[in-house]
Amino acid sequence: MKKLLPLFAVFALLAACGGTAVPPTTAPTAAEPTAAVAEPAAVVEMGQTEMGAFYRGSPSAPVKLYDYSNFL
Amino acid sequence: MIVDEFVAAGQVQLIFIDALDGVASATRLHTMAHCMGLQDPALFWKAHDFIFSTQTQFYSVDDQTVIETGVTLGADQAQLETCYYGGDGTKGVETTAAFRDEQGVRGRPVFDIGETRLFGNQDFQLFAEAIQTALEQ
Repeated sequence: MKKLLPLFAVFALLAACGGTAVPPTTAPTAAEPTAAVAEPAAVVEMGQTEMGAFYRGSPSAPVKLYDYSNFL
Repeated sequence: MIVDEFVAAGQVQLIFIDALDGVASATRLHTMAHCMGLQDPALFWKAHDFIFSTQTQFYSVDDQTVIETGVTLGADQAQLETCYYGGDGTKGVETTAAFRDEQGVRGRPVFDIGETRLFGNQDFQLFAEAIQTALEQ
């Protein structure tokens, strides 16, 4: 039994430390993409217009849809 | 839905124009997305879709978090930082924002579909009708 006492002491110490752990401080982190964000479809053409705006869809598509939006 | 129904079908080309409004967090996001697009246009759309799907967490965002978000989405960090802090991204979004001014667009979101201009978030059906009208012209 005496031989087991140091082992008990180690367990007790670990348990005590676990109960008093200080939560780590966290810096602002980058948002993680979620499964809800779909990968752009590979079949849809993507690129930049002459002025530098990004598009998706064929440049030869008969209809141009200009989306004037703000991210927030 | 517009992408699935009309863009993928080759009927519509969707062109995103930065509607800057002077809010620093938004300008940071637009700049980051533009810089990602310079690496690969698909990365621009990945950032675009991600930001719109999670935008509430970006209402107050600093430069470092914006860069980290871009890297998480797949951008090369060194290239992203060079573009973001070096001015290429700012120049890019200011160019498209100037186009917006030239078109007389004031509010946001606004959508030009052929000869039709839609204001605000509208039902898909209204977009579909405007696209159909444009296809018939």
